[in-house]
Amino acid sequence: MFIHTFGPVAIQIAFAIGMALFLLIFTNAIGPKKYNPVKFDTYECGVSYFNDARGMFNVKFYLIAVIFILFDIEAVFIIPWSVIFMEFKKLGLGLFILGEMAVFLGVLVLAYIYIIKKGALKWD
Amino acid sequence: MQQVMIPAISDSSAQQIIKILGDTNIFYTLPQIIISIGALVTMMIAAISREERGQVINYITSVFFLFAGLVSSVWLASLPKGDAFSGMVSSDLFSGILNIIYSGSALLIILVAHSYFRNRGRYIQELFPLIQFAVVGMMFMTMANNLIIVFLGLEILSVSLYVLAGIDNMDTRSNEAAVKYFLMGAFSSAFLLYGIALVYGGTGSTGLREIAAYINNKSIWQNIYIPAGIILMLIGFGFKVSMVPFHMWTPDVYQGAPLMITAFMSTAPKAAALSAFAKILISMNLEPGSSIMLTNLIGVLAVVTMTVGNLMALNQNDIKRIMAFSSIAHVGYLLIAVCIMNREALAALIFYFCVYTIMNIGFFSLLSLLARDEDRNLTLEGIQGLGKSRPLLGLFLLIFLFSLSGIPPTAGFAAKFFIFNTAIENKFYLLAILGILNSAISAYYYLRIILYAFIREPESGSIDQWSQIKLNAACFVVIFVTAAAVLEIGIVPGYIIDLGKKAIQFL
Amino acid sequence: MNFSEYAWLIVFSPFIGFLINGLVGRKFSEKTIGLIGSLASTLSFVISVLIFFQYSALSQKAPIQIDLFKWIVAGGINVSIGYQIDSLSLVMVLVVTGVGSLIHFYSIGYMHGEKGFARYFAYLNLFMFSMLNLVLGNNILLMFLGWEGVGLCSYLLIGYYYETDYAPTAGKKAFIVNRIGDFGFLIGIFLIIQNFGTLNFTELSTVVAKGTSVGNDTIFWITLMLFVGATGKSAQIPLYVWLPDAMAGPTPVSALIHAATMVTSGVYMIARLSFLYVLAPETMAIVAFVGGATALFAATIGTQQNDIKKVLAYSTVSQLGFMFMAVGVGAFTAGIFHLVTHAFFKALLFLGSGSIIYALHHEQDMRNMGGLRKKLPVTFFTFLMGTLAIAGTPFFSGFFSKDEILWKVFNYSSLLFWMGALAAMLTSFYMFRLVFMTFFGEMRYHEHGGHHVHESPAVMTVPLIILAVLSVFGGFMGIPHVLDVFHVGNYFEHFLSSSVKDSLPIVFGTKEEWGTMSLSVIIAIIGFTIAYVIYLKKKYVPGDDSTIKGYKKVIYNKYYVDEMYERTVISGTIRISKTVYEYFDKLVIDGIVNGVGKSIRRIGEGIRGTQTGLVRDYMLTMIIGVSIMLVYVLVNKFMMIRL
Repeated sequence: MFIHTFGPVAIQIAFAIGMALFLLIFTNAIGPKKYNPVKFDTYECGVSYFNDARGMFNVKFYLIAVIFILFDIEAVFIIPWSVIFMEFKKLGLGLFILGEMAVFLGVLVLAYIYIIKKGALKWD
Repeated sequence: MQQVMIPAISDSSAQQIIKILGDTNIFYTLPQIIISIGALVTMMIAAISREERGQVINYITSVFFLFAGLVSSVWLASLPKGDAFSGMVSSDLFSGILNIIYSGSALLIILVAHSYFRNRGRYIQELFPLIQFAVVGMMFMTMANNLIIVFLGLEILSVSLYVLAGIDNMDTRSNEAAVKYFLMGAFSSAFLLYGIALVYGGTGSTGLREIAAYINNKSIWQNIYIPAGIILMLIGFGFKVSMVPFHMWTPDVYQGAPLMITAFMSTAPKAAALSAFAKILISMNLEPGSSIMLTNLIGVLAVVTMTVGNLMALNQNDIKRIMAFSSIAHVGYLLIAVCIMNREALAALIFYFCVYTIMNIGFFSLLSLLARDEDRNLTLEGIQGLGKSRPLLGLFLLIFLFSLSGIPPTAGFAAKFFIFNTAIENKFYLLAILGILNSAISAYYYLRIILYAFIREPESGSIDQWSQIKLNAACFVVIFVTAAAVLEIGIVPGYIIDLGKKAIQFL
Repeated sequence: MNFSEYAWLIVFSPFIGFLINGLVGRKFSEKTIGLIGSLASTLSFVISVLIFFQYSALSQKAPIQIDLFKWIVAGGINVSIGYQIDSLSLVMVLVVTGVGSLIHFYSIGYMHGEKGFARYFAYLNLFMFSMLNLVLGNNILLMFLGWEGVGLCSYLLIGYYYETDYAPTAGKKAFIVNRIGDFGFLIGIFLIIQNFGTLNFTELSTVVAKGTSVGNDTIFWITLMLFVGATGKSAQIPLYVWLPDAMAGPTPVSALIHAATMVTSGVYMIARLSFLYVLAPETMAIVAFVGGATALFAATIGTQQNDIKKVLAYSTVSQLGFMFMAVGVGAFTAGIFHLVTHAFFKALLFLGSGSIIYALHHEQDMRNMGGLRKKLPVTFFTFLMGTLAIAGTPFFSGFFSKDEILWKVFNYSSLLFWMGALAAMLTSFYMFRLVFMTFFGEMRYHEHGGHHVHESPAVMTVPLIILAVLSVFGGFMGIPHVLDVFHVGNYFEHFLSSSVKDSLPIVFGTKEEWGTMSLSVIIAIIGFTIAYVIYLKKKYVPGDDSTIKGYKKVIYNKYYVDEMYERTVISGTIRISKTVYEYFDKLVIDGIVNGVGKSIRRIGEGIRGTQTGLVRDYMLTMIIGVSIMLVYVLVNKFMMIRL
């Protein structure tokens, strides 16, 4: 039973791995090998590199990135709200659900004011 | 112009909306709402005004809001049990009492912390909103009827605590503590979340009642996900309460964080995490037989926790570090109650939370008075001569340490007595004996502090230092009230125990 | 007027004294402090005397209950702060407050000019408060509260001379040894709660009298565990080691706490719970033989001590052994009787030795005394009365009580009787040795610097005289039957019978009673004669510590029991905690996790290692813990399947 259900999958996997190995070994075996400095570069074509990839960023990048993500995710919450807004309105609860969103956004605005006052968005 | 098509609402969907709105019962979360508003207001004050006046305004505002939260918690505790947000959270006497503990301890901490941070010369106003957010998180943890809400509350709490540990952002040790705590806390949250996911996978729901209905009268072994999930949740909560072997962060973080923050971290959050876990276990309706595995495991963890905590404390010299290990040991005693896993034990747990919170906050407040030289942590040698030159402070020290080591007639004795007695009544003899042995060991290092404060001859000049301590009113009131409460509960513990017993009826 | 309604005042009067002296005492003069402390104690005594007269006039001596308020109402247990007055607690209260008050007055003279006069009296009053809670409490928990309280006061008072090296150490030793005993006591309490559901003495005895379903094994363990507590508090083998060291405290404290009252609380506890103990004959046998062994063992050590207070300390341990022997064989009345007379003469002896020490400016070594008979006439005379009483001279108080114990023990086991008799002979020997070395012979004390040896002030000698009178005549309240020529009856036994009854069957007759009595007199004379020959006739004075050899050296060093405990129990505990610290803290955290040979040095104050290194290591420990726990779940799962 096991073979029956998973057999094809196993064959598929074995075939994929075999193919990859075969191509790697085969090209390596028959291909011509000519080395030059350009070939050992990080990017064989395009801009030549100028620094280590593990360079340091200014910490402000992270701060702003985190703040961006926070507000971004909060904004996502508005989408489902807008989808069901009309349903509430039909029930006569339009003002209520608008108020709910106002409270939510109000809290967000408070956080925004806090960020600005604390100078988190100032670059220098 | 074509009108936008609005999908027609079926009757059942409309009824559902109305039902949900009707079930919201938002006033059951009144303490959270009040304290959240307080947190936002104090956050704004912190952003707008930085001078000394702002500090005082912020201090008074947060005391006001926490007090209002406390009062509303008391009011809610007096109401009958009720659900809010369609059963996602529920309010009853159990959560009411714990809410009182959370808001009350935050209130006491803030009363002391104001003068503490002011004397240090580094005053960060974000202290106030963060503590209030933490309180909101803890309240949701306890009131939650759904594992997702528990996790939400835990994260609100944890994130606040990570920042609080590093609140003194100019102090490298405080920063180190915060980073360590954050890294490891995030790590442990993952376990908790994984545990919740496994339980969800095993039972098909995250709601405690639905899980209980699923497990009811059946073994938890019907699939491996449920026990594995519970164990992973135990690990997640165990980290928060510094259960061995997940306690490693405790001494470093407690030592690094500012004193009053340590006081906060060592009390209310532990109560929140353990009560949430206990509530989950209890409401899962585990049959005693089916959870032998869990009982054995928690029992072993309890013994290991208290033993390691006590033995490591023996050779310490730094009082804050002693208190870190002591808090580990106390978690061990609390785990005995979790291990017994019935309602009576939960009453003992609630009682122990009350007592532990009061005596620990009292002791730390006293230490905040004694820690004059802020660059240095308080060592045993550092308190020599206290008893002689400031006998009143010495008396308070004596009361709190007696209570911590469980010597009658203090509250600590009553709390330990209640837990060990519950253990014996439920035939957990070995746990009780090991617990008593451990509390005998713990007497050694608590008495050592007393020995240094009273018996040892002070270094020359330290008497002058003691006489320089100025008692400020708020701090003194906190110390006095907690000390009086320690004695009062120690002599007449009956009514709080009764309250605890009543509380668990509702769960 | 019903005085028993004021019984709470007995307990709280010393507490008020403690509060006054403890809080504002240092502002008062010595006289005021002393008077406050002494009067607080005397008030308790007066009230208890009034209650005693009213109570003894009652025909039906039912226990009177005074419940103050509910203390713990939880689970199956219901404990109140309440006091119980019956004949047993009245006897104890009279001894505690009576002897206690005398010692308070005596202390005014003895502690004159000491640092911390107010502290001393505050502690003394706190001790009285705790002790009265212990003896008056109507439930075991309140008794335990007092039990812990007296232990605490004992600790504080032993360490009173905290500037010295030995006093704080002695205090700590007493505290720790007592904690070991308390551990047993607590287990006993828990077992009682679990099996009987009540802690109240009266309810407990009703439950037991009705016939309980609780098995004999359980009762055996309950009583044995409680007895473990008693061995700690009452200094019996193997937990007696703290008492001789406790002599580091001021001498009146030794008299009050470590001779007359606190150390006897174990005997009181067994008498109070006698209804439970009689159901466990095995425990009773253990109690009796531990008592007998202690009596003999401590008496041998007492014969070779040169410190006057050490002799008395070992004598106390030995006499406590007699009391335990009595309650162990079921002669509860005899045990309590000896407790009372012992309180009289041992308090007298300690206060007398205090008077000597006071006169000789804190000289305690008997090798440096001698010939004090002329210089301290009152002290000498009263001390002699005490010695005659403890040695068992006919018609002195100790004679009646010790003789009654020996007679009762003879009915139980002849081996135990001979142990007791031998101990009694040694008692007579070492007490007369003490008297001869101290008061007779040549004066070996060198007066220097214009200090002359002179008699103590009246505030000290008057209590001595009162106690001497009690020591001489106190025995007549319990006259044995054979000597009762006027048929006045054994008043003590009669009075006590309303709360405690002996469980020992008397198998021998009058002839044997005469026999044991005359034997104990002969024994006392033998002891006296040996001491007389060696120390008075031959004027033998023990040499320096280094010259003591052979068996005497072994005894002088108390059979090296302290050293044995030091090497095994104490260093063992220290080693375990060190090992855990070394191996768990350093090896598990710093070693295993940290990998090969990379020892983390301590950077800064107590912060070990670097940040990243530590967090990584901590997490690894967490992972190990998680893995173990999950494997445990799996193992359980598979075991389930197999089942």
